[in-house]
Amino acid sequence: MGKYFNPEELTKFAGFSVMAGNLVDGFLAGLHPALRKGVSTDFTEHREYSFGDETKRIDWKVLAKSDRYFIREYREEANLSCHILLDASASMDYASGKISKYKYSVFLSAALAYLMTIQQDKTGLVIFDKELKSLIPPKAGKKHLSLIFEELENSKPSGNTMLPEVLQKAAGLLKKRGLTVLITDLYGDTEKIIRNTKYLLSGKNEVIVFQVLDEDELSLPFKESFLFESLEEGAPVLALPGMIREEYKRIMLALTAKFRKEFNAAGIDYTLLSTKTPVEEALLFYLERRARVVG
Amino acid sequence: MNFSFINSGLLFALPLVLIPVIIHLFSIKNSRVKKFPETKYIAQAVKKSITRIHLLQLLLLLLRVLIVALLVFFFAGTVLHKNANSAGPASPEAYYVLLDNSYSMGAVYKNSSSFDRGKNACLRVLKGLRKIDSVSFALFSNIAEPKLKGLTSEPAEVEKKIKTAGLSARSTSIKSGLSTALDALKQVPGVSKQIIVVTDLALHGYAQFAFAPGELDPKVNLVFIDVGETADNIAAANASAGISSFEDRLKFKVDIFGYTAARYSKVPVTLLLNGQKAAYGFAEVKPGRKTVKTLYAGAGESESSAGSVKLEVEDALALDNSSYFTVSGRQLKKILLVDGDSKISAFLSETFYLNLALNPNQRFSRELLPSVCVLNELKNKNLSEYKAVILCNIPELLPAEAGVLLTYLKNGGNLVYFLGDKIELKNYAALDSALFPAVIRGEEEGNFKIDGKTLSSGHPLLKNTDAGKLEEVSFSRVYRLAPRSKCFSYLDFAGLNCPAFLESGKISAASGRVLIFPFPADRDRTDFPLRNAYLPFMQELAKYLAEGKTQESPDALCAGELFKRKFEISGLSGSVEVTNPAGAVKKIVLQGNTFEYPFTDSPGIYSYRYADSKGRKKEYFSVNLDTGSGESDLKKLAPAELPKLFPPKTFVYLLKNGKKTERDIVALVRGEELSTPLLLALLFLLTAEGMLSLRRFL
Repeated sequence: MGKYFNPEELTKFAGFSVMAGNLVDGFLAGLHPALRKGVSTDFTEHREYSFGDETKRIDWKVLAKSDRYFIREYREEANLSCHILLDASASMDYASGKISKYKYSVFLSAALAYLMTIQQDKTGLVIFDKELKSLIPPKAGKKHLSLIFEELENSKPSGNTMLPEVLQKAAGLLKKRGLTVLITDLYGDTEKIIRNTKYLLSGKNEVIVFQVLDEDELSLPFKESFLFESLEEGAPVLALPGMIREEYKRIMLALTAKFRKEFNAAGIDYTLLSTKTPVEEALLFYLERRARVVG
Repeated sequence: MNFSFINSGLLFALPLVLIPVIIHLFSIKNSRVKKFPETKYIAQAVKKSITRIHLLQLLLLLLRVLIVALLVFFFAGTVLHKNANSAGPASPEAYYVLLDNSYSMGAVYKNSSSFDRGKNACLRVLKGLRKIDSVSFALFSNIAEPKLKGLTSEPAEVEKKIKTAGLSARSTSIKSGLSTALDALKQVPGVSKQIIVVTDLALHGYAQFAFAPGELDPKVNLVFIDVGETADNIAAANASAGISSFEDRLKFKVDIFGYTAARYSKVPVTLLLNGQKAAYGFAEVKPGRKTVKTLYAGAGESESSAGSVKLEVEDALALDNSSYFTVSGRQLKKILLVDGDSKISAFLSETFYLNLALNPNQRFSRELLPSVCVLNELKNKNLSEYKAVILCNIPELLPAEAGVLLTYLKNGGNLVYFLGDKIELKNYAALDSALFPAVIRGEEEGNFKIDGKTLSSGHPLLKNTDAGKLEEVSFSRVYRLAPRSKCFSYLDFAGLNCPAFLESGKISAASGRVLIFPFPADRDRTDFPLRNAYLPFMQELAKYLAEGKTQESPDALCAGELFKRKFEISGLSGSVEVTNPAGAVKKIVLQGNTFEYPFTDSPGIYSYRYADSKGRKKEYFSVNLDTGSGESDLKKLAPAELPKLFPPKTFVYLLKNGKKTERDIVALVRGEELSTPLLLALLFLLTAEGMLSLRRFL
């Protein structure tokens, strides 16, 4: 397996929860310590004392034996409450290649949940379409992770999205200090989506938005003319892709730029993911934001 | 301009142009369905690009409709008719081919003459004919020479005539050829008719070129094939001989026309006289100008001579570099003045004023050549060389002298008497009435004037004389004359009832005239020599007398003109032998005293021999190109000017000679098949369609 997982390769394996675990372990092995270390009561290792370290953390027994100052390091305790909000509307079911936007999002959710769990964070999952389909409150522990995996594996995309309304509801539920990860294609009323996403910021909550789109949605690469029918609501459109491609790209670019601008202005971290983007990139993005929250 | 179709049945496939329209509509209604996450943004993009999309689709639709239409036209065999007279590809056609054989067609350009190119063009025209077509052929210059009777369906016959056609020395008149062709085509009923005029399109052929509106059949196509090339040409013309101030030398003049774009300096000019090189010089030839070159040469002993002036220059047209002339007694009009009262000083001599009047300025050449002698010399003179013998105050004529003069008179010579103070009345009274057809009744003294009323007598001598000036002349002493039978008086002295000028009728058809003036030619008894009327009167007198032995044709002719000579002498044998410049001899039978020679096709010197009572005589006449018509100027008519020469609605076309001549003519007459242009257009449209389609899908 290479440095990164090719998202399409993931479909070859039946149990993606196992794969998510392996992916995250492999990912963490090559990561900078600052991003993965925390404070915990579980001893992990000794470290030579350096100026500024708390004296209470000096291992006096080692000092007595070796006459050298060592600091005892402990595994960090989970003190974050992370929520993963996964869009399971019909529009997420689109796949230009082997992997659909939804599968990609599920895998990303699983990897995130695994990562959160091993970092002792409490992990919760909300799957929604036009309403909340399932809600798993945040908890730590591997048992809880299995529950999340099971829920992810059993979920299927369907129905229309009513993202603004769902976000409003979710904001009411997620009051605890923590980190919320929203995985969606952000289709709907743009202004309402932006406004309601900001509700998630209440308290000391941090929000990360992963907008997952297929390559087809970004570049409209079709050659022949099609009658485009929406996977959700929306009138069919007859179009010659070759004739509107440039204009379409301009519109999509403007849309993503708008999201980026508005979210960044509100302190929401936003990133655009295509189904061809390696999952590690999303994980790295997450860890950077988490480090800031824990800070 | 209209179209016809070889396979017109295929035009029923034209509704196939609806196929692209149907496909277009069908493709709109039957596009495949594609499920897509969100169509809102596609709809927005479509909305913004809709104008461009519609334009492109419309353009594509148009291109496809055009492609199908052009395919149908291609397979239907579309034929374009630029000519409204075209009868369609399957109709029989009549062609009258006219080939210009005027001498300007001999102009050489790049080693081939216009005439050779013209023959090739005619042969190419034949190639385009089909079995159902008919054709005729004629050469034309200022006359038309039909080579076939009517029209024929056998091109081989015409081809033979074209190949054997020759250049003429005549000038061009397009109208002569066209009229002949139009007449011939009138006999051909109801087919597509065309006259093919193969010419160098030189400007001169269209001078005074006008057709009345009804003269040209508007259904006849006139197709001109231009085989000419504009090139530099220099022409010699109007070579002539005259008397010079040098006693024994003649003055030869030639006009040199420079139809050139640039100046030619030191063009060598050679004078040939009786086959011998007689003089040589150089001329400066300026573009568009006439240069007169003068050369001097000895006249020789011959009574008549012939020669030519030749320009030694390499130009387009060699034929017009020579100009031919003859020199003969008739041309020089020699007059013999017999002085009856000669003095040591010429000024005091009887003939002084007369001689001066007949030869007023010796520096210039002229037609009259007076010479003076005394009576004693008369017997030794060859009087036949002289047009007239003028007897000035001759005291008496001895029988011998009278005999010579009578013979001279009977042979066509002319006699003029000026009666002065020396004359012996008895002697004159005894003269033969044919020699002196008047009676002197005495002398009158006083101050007499010419009676103005008698000046309008209509005598040729008085035609160009200013009557007023003649009336001013005063006479102090005159003879009273009475005319004998067949003698007439033409002028009277005012108040005297006595003639001032008598002329006798001819004693025979071959004889000359006798004129009598009852006053002298000098100032002894009159102030006539001092008056303005004297010089023109005497000049007219000499010219009148010189006409006594004339011919109807001048000695210099243009090629193709009839040479005609009327002899006014008796005793001629039955025929005249004419030798042309090529040396061919032809005997022409005399019609009375006249002979006519029409075979003057080649320029050069022609000689003719005849025999009269005195033996065999040889004389010359020259035939030249008609350079005066401008034929030597190779400047061409502007193509845009050609249709303007014809009445409106005449179908006139001009083609440049070339390898595609037959195709061009066929295209013009029968229409032009558009398969190649249609194919090219199809390729272009298909390429454009492909590119637009790609642009649509990429």
